[in-house]
Amino acid sequence: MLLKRAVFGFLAMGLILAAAPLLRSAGEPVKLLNVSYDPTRELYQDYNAAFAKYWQAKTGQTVTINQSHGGSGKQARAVMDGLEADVVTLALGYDVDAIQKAGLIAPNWQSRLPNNSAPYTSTVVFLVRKGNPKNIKEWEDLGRNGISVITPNPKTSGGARWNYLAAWGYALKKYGNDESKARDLVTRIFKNVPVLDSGARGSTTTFVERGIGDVLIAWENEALLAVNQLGKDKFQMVVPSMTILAEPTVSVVDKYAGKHNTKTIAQAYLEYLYSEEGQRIAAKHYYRPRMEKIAAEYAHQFPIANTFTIDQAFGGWAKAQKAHFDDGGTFDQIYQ
Amino acid sequence: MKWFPLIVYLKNRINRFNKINNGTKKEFMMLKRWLMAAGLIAGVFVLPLTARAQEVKKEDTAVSAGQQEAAADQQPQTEPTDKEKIEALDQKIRVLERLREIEQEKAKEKEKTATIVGAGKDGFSIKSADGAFVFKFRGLMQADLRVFGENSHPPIATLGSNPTTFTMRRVRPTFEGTVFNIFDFKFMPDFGEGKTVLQDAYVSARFLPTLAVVFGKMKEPFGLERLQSTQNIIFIERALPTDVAPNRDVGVQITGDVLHGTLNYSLGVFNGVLDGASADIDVTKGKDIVGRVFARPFRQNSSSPLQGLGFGIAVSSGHQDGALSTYKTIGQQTFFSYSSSTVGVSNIGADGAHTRVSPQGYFYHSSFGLMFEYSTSSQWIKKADLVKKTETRAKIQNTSWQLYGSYILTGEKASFSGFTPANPFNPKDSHWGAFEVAARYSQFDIDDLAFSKGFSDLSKSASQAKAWGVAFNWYMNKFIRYAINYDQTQFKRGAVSGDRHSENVIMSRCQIAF
Repeated sequence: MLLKRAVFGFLAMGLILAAAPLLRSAGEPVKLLNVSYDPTRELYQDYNAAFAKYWQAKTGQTVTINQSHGGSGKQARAVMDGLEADVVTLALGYDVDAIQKAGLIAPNWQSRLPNNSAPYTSTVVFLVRKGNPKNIKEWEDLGRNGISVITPNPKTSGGARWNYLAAWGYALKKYGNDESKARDLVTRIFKNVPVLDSGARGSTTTFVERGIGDVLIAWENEALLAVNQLGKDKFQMVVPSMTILAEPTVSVVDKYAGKHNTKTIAQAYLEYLYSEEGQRIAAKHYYRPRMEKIAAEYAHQFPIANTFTIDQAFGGWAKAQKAHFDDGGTFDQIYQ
Repeated sequence: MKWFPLIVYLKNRINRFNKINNGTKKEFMMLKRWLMAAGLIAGVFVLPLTARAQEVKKEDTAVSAGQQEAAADQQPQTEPTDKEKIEALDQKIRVLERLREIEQEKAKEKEKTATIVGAGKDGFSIKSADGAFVFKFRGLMQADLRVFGENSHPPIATLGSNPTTFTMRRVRPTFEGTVFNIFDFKFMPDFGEGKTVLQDAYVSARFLPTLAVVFGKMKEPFGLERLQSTQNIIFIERALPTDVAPNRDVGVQITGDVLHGTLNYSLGVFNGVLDGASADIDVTKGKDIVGRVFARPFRQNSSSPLQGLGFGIAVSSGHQDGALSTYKTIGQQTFFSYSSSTVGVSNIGADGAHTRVSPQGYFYHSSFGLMFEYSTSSQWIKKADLVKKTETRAKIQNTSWQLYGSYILTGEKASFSGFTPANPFNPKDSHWGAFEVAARYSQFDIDDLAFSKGFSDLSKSASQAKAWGVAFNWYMNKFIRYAINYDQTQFKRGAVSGDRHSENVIMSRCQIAF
């Protein structure tokens, strides 16, 4: 009898010890991994520091946030393949949806945060060399003979998909929803692309640092960063007459956050993006803030853009993805 | 002379290209082709223009450079200027450079996620790029020769009149690895001596650096020499105290290193096995609790001469009914067994608490090694005389101990987990591997009560065994080892009259372990 008790006691002790790592006290330091897309490096460096300070003051807990960046599609694939992100902050909702379909994120992820879980927006613009020597003003100019266009690969980059759809959506609107004309324009543009980088930051490197191409199709934040920080005397931004409203989305990765016992702090991390400080940091890094007060404060740095949304032009990401970027889709047909 | 800037420019581009591409032959050939293309462009387009310009110069030497540029501007767009051609060429080279750069980035990225397949002096393995998943294939094969002396006793019935035998002592393919960083597994069958036995099959979850929970079949944390990996034991066969130590058993244990790795602890619940035995299933009602602590207080102090000192104690406590242990000599012959039950006459077997205790220790310094181990096993035994209707019950306590010393002649550093020869066998370079000598003494004492209470028969089982032996090991490389041992075991009683003849055995072994 005594032995039996000892056995059960031992097993209970073993289970308690085994469960010990799962029990995290409030004051214990914690780590988060934010898997993000290419051009958000600087944004999240600043934001992470601000959040860590905020969280320390609020709870007394020290938090360290690690970042991972790459093409949005590639990053989503990495998470699905086992990169244990606590949160994802990706270029487009479709990539978050893909992770959700893999069972790592709850189906209601988009409704867990305001603005469909897109705390800031951006748009797609052109970055040209100072003086705009090739006189590039409109999407059609990108399809002209002799124009070298830099944009990343839509198969791996969320930003590239926004670029592609911006051109296509523009053509649809301009030519009365004539798909053949849209296809013709996008085909001509991609014929002018000599290098397809895997992510937006790579394309910026190609255009800005390597001096390749006449125009970079870029996130507005990336273009503003290049102009303001890399040289106003070297580049200038051109906003086409019509472009797309890009809505990068964020979510807690429920499975991994649950495993790491970080769900609460991961959710707080994303919620803080909507705070005044979070919005201000986004604006400082040239992302358009959602909060009106901060948007007004930073209105001077964002040119007025005539935008359309993915839902308006394509009926949502799922439809756009299927028609254009899935294997055998339009992009595969026009870029071989 | 107009070509000079173009040549200089191309030369610079080539230098940059070479820098990016590390100047490999293939890339140089690519550059060469570009140079040729550039030359061709120059030949086709630029030379005639130059010739024309020279003609113009001849006709009107007063035309200024500005006027020439204006004239060039007025040329049809289909005729690119020299500057445009150079720019176009520059863009092409830049694109090539960038494409190459992207390829290199992709290759690096691929390397980060590529599975690493290893085959070499560290064995055979497959490992994920992040190290979270590892699979290793290992193996151990020991081919032995045992030669018994003429007067060895008892005659080895299974070998007839010729006690000399070759035997495959151990043949163990081993599959082990890690999944999801913290879960280790091991699966090790053994096909040695004509049997198929599952030796190890367990999963170890390393929840903390100081805590692992192990489930499955494994060595019980008890005997020091038993816990030493078979491929690293100095002698071909373990000494007599290993007869007392439990071997493999099924259960669960927690184990880990604490105090900066200076104290190892293990605590487990197992089915419980007989002394020196293994089992896969429990047929008695009790479970054994086995605990061991082992300290290496100077482990972290590399300048201390006592760095290789380790000592500890192991205890097991459980309940056994029925079957009783037998004990073997170094030559693996039985020198003690309890009497057998006889149907309708007598019934003998384990009947109650079974306790073992083993203080143990080792000391390794430079090429020198020393191991000490003492083990005692107490077991309640009951004998029922079915004829006289009487019952005898007593606690039998058998004890054993050993002491051995070893020395590596070639200077390698000795350790409990073995060593790697500094100069693997290679006659061309006059490298001969490593050599080691060792000597030991061990003793096993059977409790007198075992005989006085009628549990065993002095004419068949010895009451004491004293064994001494010497060993010579030749480590050809990390994997291959040849060994030869001489062991003599002297017995007290164990024969019809007087003491049993000593066992004299020469054993040799060829071992491959990877």
